[in-house]
Amino acid sequence: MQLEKEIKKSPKSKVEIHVTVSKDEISKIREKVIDDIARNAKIPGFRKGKVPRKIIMTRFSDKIKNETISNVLYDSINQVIKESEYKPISEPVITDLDELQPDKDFTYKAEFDIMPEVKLNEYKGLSATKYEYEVTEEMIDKELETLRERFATLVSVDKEAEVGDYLVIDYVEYDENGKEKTRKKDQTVLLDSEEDQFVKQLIGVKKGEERDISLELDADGKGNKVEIKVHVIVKDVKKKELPTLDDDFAQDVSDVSSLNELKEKIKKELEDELKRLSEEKTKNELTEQLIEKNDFELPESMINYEIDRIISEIAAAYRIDVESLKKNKEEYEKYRQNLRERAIKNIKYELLLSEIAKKEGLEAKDDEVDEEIKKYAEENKKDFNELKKTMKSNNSYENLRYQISLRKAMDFIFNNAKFEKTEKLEIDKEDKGEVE
Amino acid sequence: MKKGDIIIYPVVTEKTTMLQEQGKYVFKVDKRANKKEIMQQVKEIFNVDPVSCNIINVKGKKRRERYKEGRTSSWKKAIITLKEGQKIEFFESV
Repeated sequence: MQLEKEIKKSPKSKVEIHVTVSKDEISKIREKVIDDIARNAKIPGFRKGKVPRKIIMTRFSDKIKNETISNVLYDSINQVIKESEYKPISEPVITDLDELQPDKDFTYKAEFDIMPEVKLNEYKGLSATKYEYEVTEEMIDKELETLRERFATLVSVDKEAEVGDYLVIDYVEYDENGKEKTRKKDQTVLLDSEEDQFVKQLIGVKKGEERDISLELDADGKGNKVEIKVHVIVKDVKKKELPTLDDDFAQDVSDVSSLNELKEKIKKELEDELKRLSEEKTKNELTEQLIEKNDFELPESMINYEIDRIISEIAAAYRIDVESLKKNKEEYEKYRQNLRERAIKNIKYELLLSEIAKKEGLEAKDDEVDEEIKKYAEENKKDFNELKKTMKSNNSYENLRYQISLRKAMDFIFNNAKFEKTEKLEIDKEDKGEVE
Repeated sequence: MKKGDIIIYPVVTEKTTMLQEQGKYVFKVDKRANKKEIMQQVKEIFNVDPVSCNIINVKGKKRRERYKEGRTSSWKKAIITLKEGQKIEFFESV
């Protein structure tokens, strides 16, 4: 196609094109459009495909015009892009469009986003903080305590119940008029605190005892108190018994043979965990710096795409329907705006790392990818060869290769960083993933 | 039947478009009109000179609704031949 074009690169990785298509080209395309319509047009009085062009042109004038415009746009934009050095990453948007007139050249403007140019300035020798950590006896003891709690057993005791004991009860609940409401059997309840009116009235019961207790309930949630009666039959009083810390216990909870080995194992696990945490913290710092020192501008479409991705990720995690979020338009916009910063950071992080990987030759080799798959296959009890085959067929093999190279790039930054400060690693309980 | 109400609509089909090449134009006309009246009106409306007029009474087609028989209405078709070289522009744009 013969056309005049003007390509301009504007900031934020946007490319503007200004195209003029000659009238000859336009009429060529229009003829084709008419032929296409004529081939399939059905008009009463004519057999299919036998309608004269003149009639087609008058009957379908709007359709011909629209299709001609869209065909011209599609063909010419494709051609311009093909001939240019740019690879668009977004759909071209038409910004300025001429009226299509016969015997006149047709001009329009369009723009699209391209991959942003990543310039690496400084990524070696970033200053980093080393986070020191130490596994103390105390931490190991705490882990052991948690384990004991988890493996605790309930043992029947012949005594009066106190706070902290468990009761096995049958009970009948009556409503405020004395009518039977619910009847439950063999319920195990923990007498957790004396504050609770239910617990308070059950302290001191013994096995086999029956007791009538009354509870004051907030019936309608507005402070109107209702008194109900509950008849409790205590079937058993139980106490939580923690296993003693000995070699038997160690064998029970893990595949080690002695308590000392168990301690060693816990120590090692804690160490690994803390090492990971401290490295992660340093890496986060390095990421911030990396972005700060090698900043570049991102195209709008990329940011929006990433925001969409984050939202769908969150939605999947919390089982929210994205469409329902979109209903409240204002709220949704605000939500997107809040995620913007995070999206920008994500993209920059990834682009920078991939650029570093390219520059430093850190692309993952086949055997590295295979190893990763093997590890995953073992953890999830899957067949390695089969897994590899499916991954290769759905592109996730290449994706994994990419992810590994990103990770290698991050490690590269980490290993080349200057550790100028040392700080003690602060551990939040949540970070350690402790089970209470 | 008032004057000026004779021609009802032009008949546009494959066959009539072919006839146009011979200077023949086809209309659906009022059943009560005769050849002279038709030619007269074509002359007035389209500003052309009709040479001859052929008339065909088209019989309505049989239509049946379950056991009830009926037919679509019959109509009169007029084929007007124009003086050589003349055209009716209106047909070009239908």
